[in-house]
Amino acid sequence: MQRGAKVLVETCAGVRSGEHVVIVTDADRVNIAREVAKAATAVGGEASVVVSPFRSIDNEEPTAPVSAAMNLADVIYLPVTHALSHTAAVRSAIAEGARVVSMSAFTERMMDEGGLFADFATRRLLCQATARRLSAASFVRVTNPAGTDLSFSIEGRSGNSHACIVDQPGFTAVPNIEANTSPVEGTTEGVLVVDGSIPYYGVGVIAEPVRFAISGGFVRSIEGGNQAGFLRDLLARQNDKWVYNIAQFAIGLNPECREFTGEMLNDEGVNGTIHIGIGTSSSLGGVVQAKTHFDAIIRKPSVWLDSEEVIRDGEILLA
Amino acid sequence: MANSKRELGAQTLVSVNGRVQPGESVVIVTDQKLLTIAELVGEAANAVGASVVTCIIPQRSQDGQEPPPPVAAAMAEANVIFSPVSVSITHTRAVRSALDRGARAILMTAYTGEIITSAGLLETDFEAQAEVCRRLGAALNDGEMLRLTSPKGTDLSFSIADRRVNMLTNIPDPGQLAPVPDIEVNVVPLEGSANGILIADASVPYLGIGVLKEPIICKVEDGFITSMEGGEQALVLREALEVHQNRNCFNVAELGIGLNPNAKLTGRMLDDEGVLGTIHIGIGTSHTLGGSVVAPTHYDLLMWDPTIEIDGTVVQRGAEVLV
Repeated sequence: MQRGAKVLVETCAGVRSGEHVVIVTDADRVNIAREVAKAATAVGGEASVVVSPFRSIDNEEPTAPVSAAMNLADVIYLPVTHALSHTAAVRSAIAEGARVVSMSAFTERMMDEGGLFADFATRRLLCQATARRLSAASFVRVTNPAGTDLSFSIEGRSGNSHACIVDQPGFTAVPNIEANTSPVEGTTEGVLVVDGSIPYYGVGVIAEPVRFAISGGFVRSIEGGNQAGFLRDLLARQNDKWVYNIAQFAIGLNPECREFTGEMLNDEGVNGTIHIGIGTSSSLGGVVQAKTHFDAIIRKPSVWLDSEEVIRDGEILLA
Repeated sequence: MANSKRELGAQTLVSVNGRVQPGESVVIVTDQKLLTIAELVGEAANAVGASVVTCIIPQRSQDGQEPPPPVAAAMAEANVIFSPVSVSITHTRAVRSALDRGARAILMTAYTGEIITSAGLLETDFEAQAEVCRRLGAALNDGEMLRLTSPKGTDLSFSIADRRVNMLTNIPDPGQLAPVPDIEVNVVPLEGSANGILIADASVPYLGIGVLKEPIICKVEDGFITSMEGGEQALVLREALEVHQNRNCFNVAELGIGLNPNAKLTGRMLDDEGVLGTIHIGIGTSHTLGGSVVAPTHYDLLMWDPTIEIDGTVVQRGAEVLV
């Protein structure tokens, strides 16, 4: 895990000597946290590991001592079981000047191999260029061999670049390099056939494709095998129509995230895949606050921005 | 399933000493070396339904060094703080400000598996001893002149008029700290008032000295130790003091009275200073206890079988508290 920790400290956040580093974790991920602390100490940072009580769902606020500690940190790492990314505690720490590296559901495997070992500085240029293209474009069409054919408007929406480097107050999730945007509410039409991964709720890598029929910006039906049935029931139980909202469109750009593993931050970064986020969009530039948010990743997409093909069968044509 | 003694020790710290309630916010400050002890305390606090945050800080390089500011901020949000750390954070602004905000602090500097399973922790009726602690504390509070004697030849007198008495009951109220299982009452002699002979024959739980093989004999004049004689251990102590070339290192800074009937003399501070039937004279800095002397050091010299007289009345003889 030492190599991964070094990347997190030296490349992703660029920890400097004398900086106060806070690593928020829980009992299941203390080993990862301690490796990051060691690497931060090695560059002269003053690193404290804060072991938080287990939280029951993603994006539940941490307890008061944890958020108080985060507010005084220069750099924060978040190797936690349930995401802290979209919490008031993180927003407040960023407002106080923190650089935040999100590591939700991180695994020891991810410290040793894969996405963390990409050339972030180089990929960042591609990611930023892709985000600019998303900002400039008005209309997106996505297809894939499994049967996806989806269209939506992104007019007036800005593209965001997340390239695993946070060199000023702000946030990045690692090792997921992605450029994303938020489709205009109500505009998404077509079919999304998910044959990659749904790294949420324990669904994981897809065994039998999950077919989402979408109209007017909402998922209208979910068909497929056991995983489809599980997801359909879980969403129905939320009693919230907004959990079906098409919230996000993102392009994975990490060449070292090679295969789907069911690990969220790995799967979403797999190079040349796209994912559609469903549910909450308010933290992504949209306006919807739903009870949950999940991402569905497809293999070998072809993507057109307005009339220009930018990905063909999973091969990125942008430069 | 039967609890291990270590678990019982942790449960005592949490439920008896910390009186941790369901829903309370507990912050455990620890470092790599004491993490195992921290985990035991954390599990015990979880088991009573507290919300537990454990902060693993870089090991401090010297006693009294502040914890990192983010951890100090976490401590300020706690109802109860436990501090199993290798190097003391007792005398820090971080602890002070958490106490000012109403925290109860259980100090566990240099805790070991032995301390957490010791009779001093597991077999002591802390409620009953807290009562003894308060009674003796009240007698000291009302007193003016104190005389300390022992069978070995100690005969030391000093004024305690109008001094603050610190009662370390080991069951802290909000704003108080407790170095469990060291139950003690302490008071700072009026500066310059101590005179006589002090013969330490129990331990000096500092500098690797530990339990004493030969007594350390100190002459005390006008509040300062003016000579220190004895064997090898006396020499180690004297040299550690002289190296600072600061007279305040020899200041008579504290009388501490041990009140834990189950604590055993081991050479470790938290065990020794609470042993019922011993007192300790602290020398060096006194400002953290309510005195006015600042010195770079504070060491305690323990002796057995004290007789303590306050204004002519014997309040303690050996292990027997008479108030």
